[in-house]
Amino acid sequence: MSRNLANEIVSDLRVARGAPFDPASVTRPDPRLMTYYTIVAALTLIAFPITFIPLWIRYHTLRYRFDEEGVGMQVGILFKRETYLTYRRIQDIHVTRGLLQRWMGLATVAVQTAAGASSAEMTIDGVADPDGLRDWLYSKMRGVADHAAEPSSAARPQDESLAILREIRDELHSLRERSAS
Amino acid sequence: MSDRESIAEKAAHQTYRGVWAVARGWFRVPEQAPTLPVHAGGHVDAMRPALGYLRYLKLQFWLLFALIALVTLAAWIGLTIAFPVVGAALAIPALLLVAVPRIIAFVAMHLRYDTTWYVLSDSSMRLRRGIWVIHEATITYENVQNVMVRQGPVQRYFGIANVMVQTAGGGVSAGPHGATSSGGHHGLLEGVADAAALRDLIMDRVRASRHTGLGDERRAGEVTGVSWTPEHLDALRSIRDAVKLLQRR
Repeated sequence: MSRNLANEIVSDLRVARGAPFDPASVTRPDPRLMTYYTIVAALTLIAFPITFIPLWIRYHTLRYRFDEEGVGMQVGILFKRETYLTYRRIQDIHVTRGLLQRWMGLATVAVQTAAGASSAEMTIDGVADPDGLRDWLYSKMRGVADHAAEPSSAARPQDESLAILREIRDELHSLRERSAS
Repeated sequence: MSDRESIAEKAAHQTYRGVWAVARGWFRVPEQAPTLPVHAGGHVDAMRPALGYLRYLKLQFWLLFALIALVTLAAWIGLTIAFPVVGAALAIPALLLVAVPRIIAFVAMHLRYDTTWYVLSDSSMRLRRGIWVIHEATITYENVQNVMVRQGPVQRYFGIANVMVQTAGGGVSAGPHGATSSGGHHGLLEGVADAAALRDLIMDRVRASRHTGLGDERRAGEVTGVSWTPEHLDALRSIRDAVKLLQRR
């Protein structure tokens, strides 16, 4: 039920935007991120080589993996960092866009879980459609699809426990009848 | 007098709108409020901070303006008494030094007010702020841990307060005016007129949630609480009665 609703929300967005956001297709950052990193590094003037090399490495080693339950991110050559989080545990989504990022159509999507740090657990950089990513993550978050799904799941008790209880009742009835006769 | 004032005010307003419309295009600042996807039947409420917040910002602006002008004037008078020629030469640069940054600050203050949006839906909120760096936070009520209302004496005079919504995870220090506007695990609604109503609205949602806001799975809730329906109770009552009859025999 909640999945249907999530799909519904996503499909509504598709109608609104025209192009669907396909998370499975996002495995590498967009080439525009390299351009952005180059400009950012160039702005540091003399320090260009020092700032550029880490960003270059970051761009070329950055990998994303979106699956049904969560998202994984990997970065680094010598010191590898890998983060994995499930959509259900997302606390808040922060989208930050600087002027340069807006000009290039980029954004930083920071995802927070309940781990005890003020900084984001995962910052997703350089996705071609940041609004699509944000809305997709939002549709998977707790408290979005659940609200509408709640009453319908409570109204239809089709579970096993009720059947078992009825069975016990019938057994007891028949037991009493047998002992009476 | 008042007519002329209102015309001047209107002209200033129009100029501001026109210049801002052009700048908005260059700086890619979205004009509309942020949107939130909602399911059928849900509604979304988009609002800006209260007008009192703009007055509050204006008061801060004029106080700072007066301070800077006085300091610059005192320095300039001192200089003119000591070296009249240098003082005369520096009169216009000193004036510009005071005026130009203050004009920019005045415009920035208006832009700050115009680009702040608080969007509330049935299940979540989206808060946007910023001109240079646009920051947008999305938080569902399910994940909210607590709501704080902060109001200083000057804010009380203008009838506004800051509402801060916190999610689990911490790392946010709560200063006298709430916390910084960026960073994680919280959302800040600055300059809200009816803070108490907003707090109640959010807290009602939080209370309605059966979860702790730490990513509990919906399935776990269904097994323990939700599955006991009237049908279950009926079946249990008839079992009890059947057992009672057995005992009596």
